[in-house]
Amino acid sequence: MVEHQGWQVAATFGNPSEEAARTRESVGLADLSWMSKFNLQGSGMKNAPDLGPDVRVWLLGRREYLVTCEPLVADAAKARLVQIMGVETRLRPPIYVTDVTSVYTQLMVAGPNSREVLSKLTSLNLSEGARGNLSCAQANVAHVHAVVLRNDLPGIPAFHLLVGREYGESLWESVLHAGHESHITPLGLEAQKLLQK
Amino acid sequence: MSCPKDKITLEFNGKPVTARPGDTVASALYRSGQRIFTRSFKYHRRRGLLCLAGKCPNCLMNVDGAPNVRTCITLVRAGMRVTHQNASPSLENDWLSVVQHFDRLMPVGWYYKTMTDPRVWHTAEPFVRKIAGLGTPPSPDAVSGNYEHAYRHSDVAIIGGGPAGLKAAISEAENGRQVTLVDDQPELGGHLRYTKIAEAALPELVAKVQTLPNMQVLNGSYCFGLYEGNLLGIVQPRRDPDDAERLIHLRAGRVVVATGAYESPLLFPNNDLVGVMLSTGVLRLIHLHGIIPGKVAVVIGQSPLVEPVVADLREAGLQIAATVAPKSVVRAIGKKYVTRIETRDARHACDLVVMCGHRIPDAGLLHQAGARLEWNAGKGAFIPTDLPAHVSAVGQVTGESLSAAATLPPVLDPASKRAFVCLCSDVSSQDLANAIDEGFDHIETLKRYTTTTMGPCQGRMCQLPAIGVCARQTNHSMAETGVTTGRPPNPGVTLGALAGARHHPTRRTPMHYEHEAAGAAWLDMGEWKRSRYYQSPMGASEKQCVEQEYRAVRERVGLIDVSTLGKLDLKGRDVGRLLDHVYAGRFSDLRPGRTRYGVICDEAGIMLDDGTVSRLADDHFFVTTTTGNLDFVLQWMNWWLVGTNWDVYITNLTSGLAAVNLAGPNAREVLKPLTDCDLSTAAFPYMACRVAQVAGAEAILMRIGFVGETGWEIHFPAESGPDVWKAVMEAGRKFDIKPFGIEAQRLLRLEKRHIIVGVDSDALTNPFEAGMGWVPKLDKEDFIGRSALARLATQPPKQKLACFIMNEADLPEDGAAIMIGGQLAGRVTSARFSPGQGKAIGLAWVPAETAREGAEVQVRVRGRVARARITEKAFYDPDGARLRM
Amino acid sequence: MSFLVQCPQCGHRSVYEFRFGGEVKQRPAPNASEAEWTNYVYTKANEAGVQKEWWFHRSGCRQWFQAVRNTVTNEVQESFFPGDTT
Repeated sequence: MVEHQGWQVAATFGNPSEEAARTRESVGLADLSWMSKFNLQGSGMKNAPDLGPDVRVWLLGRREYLVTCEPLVADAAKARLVQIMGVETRLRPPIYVTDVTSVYTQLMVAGPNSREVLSKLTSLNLSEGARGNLSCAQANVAHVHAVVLRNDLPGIPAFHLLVGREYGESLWESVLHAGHESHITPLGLEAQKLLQK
Repeated sequence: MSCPKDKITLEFNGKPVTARPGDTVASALYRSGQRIFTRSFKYHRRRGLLCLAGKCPNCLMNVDGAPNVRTCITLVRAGMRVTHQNASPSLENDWLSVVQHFDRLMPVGWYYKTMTDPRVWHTAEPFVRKIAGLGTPPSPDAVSGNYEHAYRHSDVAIIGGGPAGLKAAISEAENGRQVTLVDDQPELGGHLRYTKIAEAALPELVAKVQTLPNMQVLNGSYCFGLYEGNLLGIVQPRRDPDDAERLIHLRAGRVVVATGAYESPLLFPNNDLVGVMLSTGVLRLIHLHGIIPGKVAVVIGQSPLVEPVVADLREAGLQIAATVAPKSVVRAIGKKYVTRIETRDARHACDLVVMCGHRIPDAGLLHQAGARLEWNAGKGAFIPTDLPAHVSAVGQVTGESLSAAATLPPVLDPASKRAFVCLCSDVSSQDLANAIDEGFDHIETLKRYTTTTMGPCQGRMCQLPAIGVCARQTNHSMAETGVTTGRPPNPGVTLGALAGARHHPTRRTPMHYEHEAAGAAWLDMGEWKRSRYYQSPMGASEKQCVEQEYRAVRERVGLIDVSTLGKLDLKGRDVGRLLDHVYAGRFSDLRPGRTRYGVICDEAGIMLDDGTVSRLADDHFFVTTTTGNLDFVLQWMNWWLVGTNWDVYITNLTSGLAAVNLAGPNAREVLKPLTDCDLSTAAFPYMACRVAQVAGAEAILMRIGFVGETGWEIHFPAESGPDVWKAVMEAGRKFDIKPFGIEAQRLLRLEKRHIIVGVDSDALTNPFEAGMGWVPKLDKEDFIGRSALARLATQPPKQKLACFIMNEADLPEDGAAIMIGGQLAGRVTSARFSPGQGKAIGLAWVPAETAREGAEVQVRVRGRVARARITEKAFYDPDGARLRM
Repeated sequence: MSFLVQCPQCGHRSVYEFRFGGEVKQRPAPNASEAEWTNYVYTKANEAGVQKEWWFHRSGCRQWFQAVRNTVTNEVQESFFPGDTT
């Protein structure tokens, strides 16, 4: 375990380069619950605001967006939002921001076999045509409501599962079980850094 | 060609059997000399291979612990363990075969006629179970492999990998569609694999299918149901013992059924003898497995079906003793195996009888999807018509190139005790005739009375002959008689496959591992794990532990995890308006920094949920719901918001916040060093709320008291859960703080007469009956339930929820009867032993006139009647002085 | 029962993902008669044919919407968020 942007995060489960290699050839599972998340709602939320290149904005419902980013840039993203709210008159109707970082456990399933593993847990169509990179959907995964975000690593398909925090251990177990056949590996922070290259 | 490494050894009844690659279990056993594969369901008659296509019940065996496996379509695997079923001691010598000599004692409908007295059934059942039946299920503790589900999506699903299916699949895929091709045989090709058809170019078709990138092939997998919305249920059996048996939910834009036609037997006495086979079964043995199943054959069939079969058999080297028409067959003769066929004018010695049987379009999936089956005499088959939208059919399943195998209904009286219609449960044509005489003369009642078409083959072998017999005996046509309704699953599915992998979601609170370390005895509340109580290391009983926790709260201080409460963050200018509408109480006038109790009723005035509403700022409220009702409350509020344009935005923070309740006379002293908030009653009175730091975490504090002591409910970010819990426990050490569980909490609240909605109330309870008439604010212009509650307010309730106390410590069970003058008058909703009172106390529904101080009632305590007294006030601190201290 | 329901947000999904919310009905005015309220709370048209219904996408976007469905064939003809003008 290491300190990472204010969170205790698993650095590795033994061998970072092997974790990365197995992810590249099959599938890996990482806990990304430390990512910052906040909810934007309000009659002012007619379009997704542009919060900068390191911040992702996902449509959840009518005038409801989920923002995900690294904790390091969260404050900047919030400041940018305040700026937009202040400057752009078309956003004059109110926007409400609620921090939901603690609400979600965020697991990332990455690798060429990630679809195969997830298809054992969800009826959501994960094909390239239905669920391209940077798309967002909501569905049950292992019987638990999840926000499913596709946010690829360089050259590797990656699905992020956001479920209620209290389901974290349970979902982790389910994904490992479903990935047994594909020799799924848990992924530590160091291996994730290798995969980002 | 066979060298040792090409040989596979499996085990049959404990003995090694050598098989070749590509063998099925059945073909390997047949090659090793096995001729009898099963004993029949009721009479224990010998049965041998018949269809070789997975359609009949004749080859069911136990494979690696799984019963009723169709061995003729199961590929061999090294080390496979195969055993026979329903025969003792062996398939060759089964002493139960004497049963068939007593068939007069077991007429059709025997169960219904004999087992009319439960005592008779209970005596007979063990014997009946032993004599009749199929395989035995694996014992519950035997781990028989794993199971999983998988979900697939495709533009087009093609069911059936014969020539028509292959061509359809290629054409769809070449048009750019995502195609899934499902076939139940070990290899693609359908009838091309074992018959000679000039136009066929099987290798090219198969090769093409395998190169198309947008094609997924599921071979060796069978489709058991076509459901609404083009959902297909498909089972992919395990390929080796470490595999999972997989149930695939395939959602397809369109379904093309190319299941072809299968062959079913002709009806004549002793048509079930070993050695009487379907022509397609014989050709499969010859062409797929290189086995010639006899030397001298009699072929039963009519033109044009019979000629190609005869030619093929001759070419394989079989001697054809005779070719006879189906209508001239009198019976088959043989003791262990068939030895002769008797016709009206001759007897033909043989060791194999080849039936060119009825060709049945395999239209089960189409029938399930809503297609009609229409009789076509020329083709001798029921042909699917009126296909639903997005479902189509190609190939022989449409009736293409089919011709009748025999005249239907039969010309001569088919009734015979040994002409078997239903091989699965030994129903003869005589049985059907008798059942029809008894009045079961409709095909659907005939099916249910005789169980014909209800066995493992699900009518594949027996449906057409049964319709034929029924039509003949009732003087109806085939079309008038009609077919029985086809329903999924067909073929059968193992229960394990339906159940799938065990993914039972579990919800753990942020302090889960703190509780575990403190010895929590767990209580499953829905998916949540909660501490019922904390076990003592000294081995004290549950009752003692709960009492210690209770005393800690009443006398010192206790801490409980209430993270499972629903927690909703409501922002916007119109939140007060929404809450006034959804709750029976009033919240628009709640001042920031205050908390109020709220009850939600439906339009009929029934109590649905309760909780607290706190106003954190003018446009910011924080609402709690009961653990089980969170989803309901959230959906309820959102439903009322739809289309209103009110400025209300709800975020569910249940998962993001940990919550504890710190309660007891010393609660303030424990909390004081951990927070910057002034906790004095002057600054933080009862029913106030504040946002402040607690042990380094930003928290919402509410001064409320479910358990009846001075206390705070504290909500804080989930990831700080363990730290805050530990800090509070540490700060409470000098006051001998104790964590307490649900049991102690339930007892504490009962002494305070705080009700739990859904435990003490039910689906008919209104607030007036529950003693909470102060809750609905009828002066509000409108809210959900106002109309009904205004009316209820003017009518005296018939029953009321009242406290009772007993003269003893013995507890009635929840739901126990309340009696007045020996008559049933109400029921107990909650009862606990109160250490404060030294007696059992509880809440109960009683007639309104009885709900007064001092009224005497009786309570049933495990069959005995005990005395109890009604009290109007709470047992503990009825005026709430301790809450305000 | 495995038909598809079109959620205006998430697209076609299995009916198992949804909570059925009943027929769309007009809520009476607060001062309406007892008979009107009784009718609203307890009586259902139970149409064999096309009716407008409430649906909640429980396993998806968790929003309420209305759908026009044929109760005989389970065909969902259209679905929309009520009052959605944008």
